[in-house]
Order: sequence, then structure tokens, then C-alpha cells
Amino acid sequence: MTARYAFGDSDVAVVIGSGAGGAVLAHELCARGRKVVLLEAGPQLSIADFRNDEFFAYQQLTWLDKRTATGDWPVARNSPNFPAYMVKALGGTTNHWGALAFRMQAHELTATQTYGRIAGADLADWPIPAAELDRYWTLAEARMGVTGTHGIPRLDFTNNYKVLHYGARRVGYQRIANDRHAINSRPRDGRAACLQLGFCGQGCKSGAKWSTLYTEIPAAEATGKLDLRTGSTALRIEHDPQGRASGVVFADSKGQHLQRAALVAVAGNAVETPRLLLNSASARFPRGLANGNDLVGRFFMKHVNASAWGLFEKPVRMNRGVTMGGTIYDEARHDPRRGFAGGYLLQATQVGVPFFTAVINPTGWGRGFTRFVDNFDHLSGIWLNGEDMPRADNRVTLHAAEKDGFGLPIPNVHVDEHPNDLAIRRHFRQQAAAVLRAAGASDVMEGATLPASHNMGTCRMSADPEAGVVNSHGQSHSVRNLFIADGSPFPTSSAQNPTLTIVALALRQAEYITRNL
Amino acid sequence: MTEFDRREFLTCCIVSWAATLAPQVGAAADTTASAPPALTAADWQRILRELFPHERVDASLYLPPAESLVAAGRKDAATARLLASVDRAAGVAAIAVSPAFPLLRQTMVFAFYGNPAIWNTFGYDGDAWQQGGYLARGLITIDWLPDPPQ
Repeated sequence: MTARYAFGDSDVAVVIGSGAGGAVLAHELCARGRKVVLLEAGPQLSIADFRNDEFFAYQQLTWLDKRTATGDWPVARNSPNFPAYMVKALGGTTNHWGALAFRMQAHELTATQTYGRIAGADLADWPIPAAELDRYWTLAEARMGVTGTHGIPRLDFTNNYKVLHYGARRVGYQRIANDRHAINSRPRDGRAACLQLGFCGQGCKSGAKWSTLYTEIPAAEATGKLDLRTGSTALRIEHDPQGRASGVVFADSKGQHLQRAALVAVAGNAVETPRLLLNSASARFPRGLANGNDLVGRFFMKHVNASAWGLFEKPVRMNRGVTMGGTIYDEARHDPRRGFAGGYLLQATQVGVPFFTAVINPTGWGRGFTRFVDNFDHLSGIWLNGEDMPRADNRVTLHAAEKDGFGLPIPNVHVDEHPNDLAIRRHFRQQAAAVLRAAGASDVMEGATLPASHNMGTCRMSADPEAGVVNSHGQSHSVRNLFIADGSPFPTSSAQNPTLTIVALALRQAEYITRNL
Repeated sequence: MTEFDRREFLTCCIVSWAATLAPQVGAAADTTASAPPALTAADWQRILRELFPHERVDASLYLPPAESLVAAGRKDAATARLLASVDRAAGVAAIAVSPAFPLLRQTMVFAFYGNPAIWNTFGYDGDAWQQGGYLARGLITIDWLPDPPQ
């Protein structure tokens, strides 16, 4: 049922990227009768291709093209050529996401009012009222099958959640739940129920987790309107003499092509999206497409992350069951008495021996390290997901010297952490250790800050055209048929995992495009 | 995946991992002095076992990473110099802060910790799919804590 449109067909909408934002937008446009070409740089995979093997899946799914990292964040030291951890395959990063689907809190959408002025941060409010986002979050939850919403039952709890819940209650936390998973607890919407394999990050072999690979993309194909092109890397967006986007130059195994377009939507994840705009500079847009105000690539955010691993006398077997087992919500409030603005979530997490030894403690050695590995089945992990401060100089730029295989500059991701980010990480380390010890841990190992998976902010949305790259519909302020459909428009990160909001914004954007273009 | 496939895969994986997620391997120390004789696989086996001691793991399982280091040194002159800069007499604490340590560590990660034959010793189950999910096989094994409210 895949459609085929000519390269010269200037009626098509070209969507770049098949992850949460791009695939939902493509599906919605197709369902409304629009011709869509969906470009995906990675290969077509299927559930049968996935393996419960961390190293194999890393090699199979990860976007491994070289990038560089600078700044004072730990990632620039630990993984200077790997600032962001995302997927290069059909379905994008929905193949490896942990499937936690949270709404933002109303106060998080109005940071300039809630947090006030914070030196060294460039806060901005979301130009969409909370009540309106609520409507789209509700639609997104139904679409993705989020547990604990729409009467969808929760998943069975895991060993790891049992530890988290017990420790959390003992230190006085009140709001703890194994909910808000976009993972089927019962068969629903053509997807099977979760078998609790414990490899959410390696491609869900249960086929229970919401991934666009086997939901949005086949549904879009079934409309007969989708021309899906995998192995197709967008290199440049072209514009006409009036400054409107007119097509996309992309490369596949046969060479380079220009696909003409009536509109272009970029959903390449918040590193590749600004890179593509910057690589699309022209005489008319010398700083890059849609970048007259030099804001493309700025305000990069990725959440403050870290982890903590408790060592228990008795077996835990954290690897049995979903990767993200449940959440403590208490610290997600804004309470400056803790010494920082915004908040964070504590999430039960697990990895296998390969990832534990490779990345959780990337420099560990000796008995202090090996006794944690020796007792792998006695470990329980907690992950930090904290709001990070947007800063104009934390940004994705084009590398001055290094080029990719197409001769295009690779991206550099620069992050200098804000004191608020450091304060959140410190607070988490203390609280996570307290939770683990309250549950019986005799020792706690701190986990390194990992490369960013929650990439946000690099094409900021704003009501004022001078203050951002796109409006609240993800439409470029300066190139009116150019849209951004991933996490790049987020003005602030909030403490919530971003995917539900990316989907909500794509649903809202599809309505806007249908009404106006 | 057969064991041979897996070894091939891990070798290629080390290359991409080294280029991406792993801490960067330092440049080789510029040793103008005459190089000492290259360490053998048996030497590396002992060094790696001291750096990453696991009493319950048979010494033979340290041989694959040891052999991998020897092979890497034969393949590439810069790697050979890097490995030759390791001073066995200085002890593991010195080796752990030496320029060669990231290479030793990432070789351990792939050829030792990535070896499924070792996982059982640590209580890691590995692949769950081939045996069916834990929902059917027993998801909750903790009997030493109360159940949370569901």
C-alpha cells in the first residue's frame, strides 16, 4: 500500500524522521488525505530483528555517525564523540525509549513566572495554555495506550519497583506509582501485552511498547498516501525565490535526489534537526534556514541525568521486567527551599551486565567496582530525570573542521551545566541513596551522567518571532511552510520525559497544517 | 548467534564503541627509549585479573580479553606502543591511571563482561525472549519486602 510520488511532485509534504514526532505527523497528514513522503535515514527493521542483547542492539539501532561534545558537562569527558544517544532506524528513538509518558505540570509551562529570573538561565514560557495541552495529552495517551489513563490497567510491578516503593515510603515519599507506561498491560490497538522481558531499550520483542515502527508507520501506509523511504538521509532543505521551502535534497543508495515539496516538516531529533537547518544556509539565509535571529541550535536541553545503584544483602533481580519500573513523583515540585528551581523524578531503572560495566561506571576498576558486578543480582537502580536550565550558549553548532561522508559538517553539542542543574544532581544523589538504604542497601554506587537521549530546545517555540525559531504550532516564523515536529521546539524541559508531549504537539500541528496550508 | 559470530560482532562492536560511547583511548606515550618486549597473553591475563578481580570467575575467562589485546597490538603500531607503555612493576593502581587504561577497560567490557558465558556467575539472566518473558516464568522473586499496593 506504499504510495510512490515523483521527485518532481511539488504537492507532497516531506517529513524528515520517523520517530515519535515525524511518524505521528506523517500518519495524521495521510489520514487527512495529504500526500506524504517520509524520509528515514536508518534501515527498515522489524520486531523479529530485535535481540535481547545490549551490545548487539547498541550496534544495530544506535545513531553512530560521529558527533562531538564540548563544555563542562560530564559527557564531554566520558564520551567526547557521542553527546547524544538516539536511534537510526525506522521508528527512530521510539525503538529504544523507556516508554514513560508523563504530562508536564502546569507550573512547569510558565517557568518565568514560577521560577522567576534565574541568573545564567534563559527561561521562557510555553506559548500554549496548559488547558489546551491537556486536550492533546489526552489524545496522545489514548493513542499510545498509556497505563493509568483512559482506564488502561497498570503493568504488573517488578522486583525493582518493589525496592523503590518500599524505600520511598520509608523516607517519607507519598507519590509513588508504576504507571504512565506506553506499554500494553493487556492486548490493545493491535499490539500484544508486555511479556516483561526487561529489554525495552533494545527494541521491544513483545511488540507491546508504543513504537512508531509498528503503529503509526503501518497505519500511515494503510491510507495509501505514504511514500516511505528508508535509508534516505536528508542533506539540505531548498527554498524558492520567495523564501518558501521548495524541496529536500536527500541521499539514498542510488545517489542524491531533490524531492520537491509543498511543505517540509523536520523531526530529526534536536541534534540533527538544527544541524539540517544550519546546513541549509543559502544566499538568502546565510546563517541557515529559519535562522535570521541566530537562535537555531541554541537552548539545547537534555534533562539532568544520573543514576544510583544499591547493593543489597538479598537478591533483587532488577533485570526481570520493564526497564523503567516506576516513579517517585514527590521531588517533581517547585520548592526553592531545596536550593534549586524546578524538580526531578526518581525512576526505578535497570541495565544488564554489559551496560552496567560499560557506561554506568565507565572508569571503574578494582574491588570497589567488581563487588557490585559480582553481586549483579543483588542490585537495584534509580534514574534521575531532572529539569535542566535552557541557556543560549548551550547549543548545537556545525563543527568547524570535521565533515561526514556527504561532506557536510558534523554537529557539535556544547553544554555548560547551570548551577541549578548541579544542585538537582546533588539532591538526587542524596535522596536516591537514602531511598536505597532505607530499603536495605548496604552500599550505593553513583552512576555516571550518560549521553543525552531527551534532546530538546534547539528550535525554540515563541509567540514573539524575535524570541524563537517557530510558533506554538512548530511553524517557522520566517519560512511559513517549514515545520519542526520533534522535541526541538520545547522552550523548557520540565522534569517530565518528553515523548508524550512530542506526540501531543505533532497532533496539534497536524490539525493546524490541515486548516492553514 | 554462534560463538564465532559473536566474537566477530564484538570485535567490530569494540571499534564503534571506542569511537562513540567509550572514554577516549589516550594517545600512545612517546617512548623514545627502546621498547621492552611485548607482554604476552598470559601477562595480560594476570594484569586484567588484578585490575578486575572476580574470585568466582575462572582465570581462563580472562584469556579472551588478554588475547584481544595482544592481537590489537600486532595489528597497529600505535596500539602496540600504548600497550608497551604499561609498566607491570608499577602495580595496578598505576596502570589504572595510565594512558593505556581506557583500552584495557573497554577490552574487558567487550571480551569479558560481554561474554554470555560469564553472566550466570553474576546472576544476570541475559536473553529473556528465548525462554519466554518473566510474566510467565515468575516476575516477582523478592520475598523479603512487602508488596506495594497495586
